Amino acid sequence: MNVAQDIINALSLGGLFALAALGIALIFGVMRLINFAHGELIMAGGYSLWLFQALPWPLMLALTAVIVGALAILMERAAFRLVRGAPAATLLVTSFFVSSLFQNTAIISFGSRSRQAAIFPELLDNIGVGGMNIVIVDLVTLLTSLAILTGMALLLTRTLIGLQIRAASENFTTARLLGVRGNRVIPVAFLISGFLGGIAAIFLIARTGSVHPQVGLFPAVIGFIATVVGGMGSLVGAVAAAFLLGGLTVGLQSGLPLGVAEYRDAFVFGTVMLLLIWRPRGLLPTKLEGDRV
Amino acid sequence: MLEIEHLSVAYGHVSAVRDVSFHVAEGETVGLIGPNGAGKTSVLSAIVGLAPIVGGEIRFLGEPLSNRSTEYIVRSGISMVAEGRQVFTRLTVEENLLLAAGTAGHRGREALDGVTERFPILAQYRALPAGQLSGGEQQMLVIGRALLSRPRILMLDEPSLGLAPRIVGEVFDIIADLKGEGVTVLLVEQNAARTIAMVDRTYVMTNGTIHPLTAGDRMDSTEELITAYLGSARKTT
Repeated sequence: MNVAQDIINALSLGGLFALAALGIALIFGVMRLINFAHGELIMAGGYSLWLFQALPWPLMLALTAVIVGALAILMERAAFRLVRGAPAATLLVTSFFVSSLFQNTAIISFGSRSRQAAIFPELLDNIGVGGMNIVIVDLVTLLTSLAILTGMALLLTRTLIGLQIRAASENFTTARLLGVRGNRVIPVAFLISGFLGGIAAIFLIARTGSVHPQVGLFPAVIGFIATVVGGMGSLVGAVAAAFLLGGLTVGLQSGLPLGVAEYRDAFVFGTVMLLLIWRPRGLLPTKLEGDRV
Repeated sequence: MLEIEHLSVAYGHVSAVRDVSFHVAEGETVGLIGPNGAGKTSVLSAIVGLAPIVGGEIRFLGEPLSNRSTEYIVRSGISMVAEGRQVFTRLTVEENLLLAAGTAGHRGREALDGVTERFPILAQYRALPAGQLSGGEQQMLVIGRALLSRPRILMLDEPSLGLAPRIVGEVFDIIADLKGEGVTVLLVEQNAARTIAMVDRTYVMTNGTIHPLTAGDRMDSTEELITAYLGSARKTT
C-alpha cells in the first residue's frame, strides 16, 4: 500500500509545483520574462491568509484572492510595463528588484521570523482509504490542482482571452497585427499568475502552518526549474515537468536509504541537470519567435 | 484613403526609407515593387506603427496615425499580412481564425463562414495545428485571418515569397478575386511582372526612395524600366 500512498503524495506535490510553474510559464510566454518575484506573490498570499485567519474561511480566501490579484497587477503596471521589450537581462534584474522590494516590505511589516498560521487545521488529519493512510491536505491539493489545471486548459482553449494569450506567447507582433492589445493580455496573464500563486500559498501554508518572508522562494525556484525543464514557453511542458519533479522528490524520499534521504534535493537537482544535458531545450521545446511589445 | 507624405524611417543611424510619398484610394489595388532591402517592408511596418518614423506623416481616412499603437491602427481598419506566413503554429487552423474574428468583435463560429467558403481547404483542416499546413495553405490562412478583421485596406507583404510557382499563381488569383470584390489592397511584391499586370497602379522602391510607375512607362517599356530601377536584383527573384 506504500506505493499507492507515494503515488498520491507525488501527484499532490506535483500539483502544487504545477500551480507555481504555470504562473511562471504564463508570464514567460507573453513577456519572455522569468519573473523571480512570483515567489513573492505566493508569500503575499501566505501573509494574507495569516492576517485573515480568524475570519470565516470564504472571506479569508476572497480577501487573499483580491490581494494577490491586485499585487500582481500592480507589479505589472509599476515595474514590468516600463521594461516591456527590453533585453532579457533588464527584465531579469527588474524581477530581482521587485522580488527584493516585496520581501523587504514583508520584513518591515511583519518581521523576519515565522508567523503561525493554522489555516484549515483539519486538513492535516489522516483518513484511511482502502488500507492507505492519506493526509487530507494531499488529497485536497491533488484534486484542487487538477480542477485548476482543467479550468486553465479550458480558459486557454475555449475563450478569446485564452486564445489571445496563447497567440501572444507564440508571436506577439503578429498578435498585435490582428488587433490583440498588449495592455490587456499581459495584465490578464499577471492576474491569472497571481491567482495561481495565491492558490499555491493556501496549500503551502496549510501544510506547514507558518509563513515567513522566504516562504515563496522554494516553490518559485521549483516553478522556474519546471518551466526550463518543460521547454521555455510551453505551458503543457511546464505542468508535465512539475509533476515529474513531484514524482522524483517523493520517489527519492521513500527510495533513498536512511542517511542519504536528507540529500534528496541534491539528487532531484542533479537529475534535472542530467535531463538538461540530455535535452538542453527541455522536454517539449517550442520555437520562440517574434519581438516583444 | 491612405496617404503617405514625406515618410522617413530609420533604425538607429541606418536610414531605411527616405522621403516617401504615395497614396491608395478606396477600392484601388496598388502595387509596391522593388528589390530586397529597398524599404518596402519598412513602409508597411511604419504604417502599422511597427517601425520608427523619423519624418513625414501617414494619414488614414484623414486621421494622422503617427504615435498610434499597432492595435489601434489595426482596429481602425488597416490589416497587414506580414511576410513569411506568420500563422500561430501551435494554434489550430480554427483557433487562428477564431482569434482574429473574436478580436475584431465577431463571436461564434458563424463568423468564420465567409473565410471557409472562400478557402474550403481551411474548413477541411480546421482541427489541425496551423504549423502542419503547407506554405500555400498557410498563406490562405493568414489572408483569411486578415479578412476576418474586416479591414478597410488589406496590406500584403510578399505573399508569393518562397511558394512553388503553381501556388504563386493561386495566391495571385486570390488577390485578383479580392480586387474584383472591391477590397482595397496594397500589395508589396518582388514578383514585379505579375504585380504590374494585376494592379491599378504601381510604385517602385529602390534604396529607400519611391517612384511611381506611370501609364506611359507601362505601355512603352515596362521591362526596361524595371530593369533600370531594380538593376540586377530583379534577376534573382
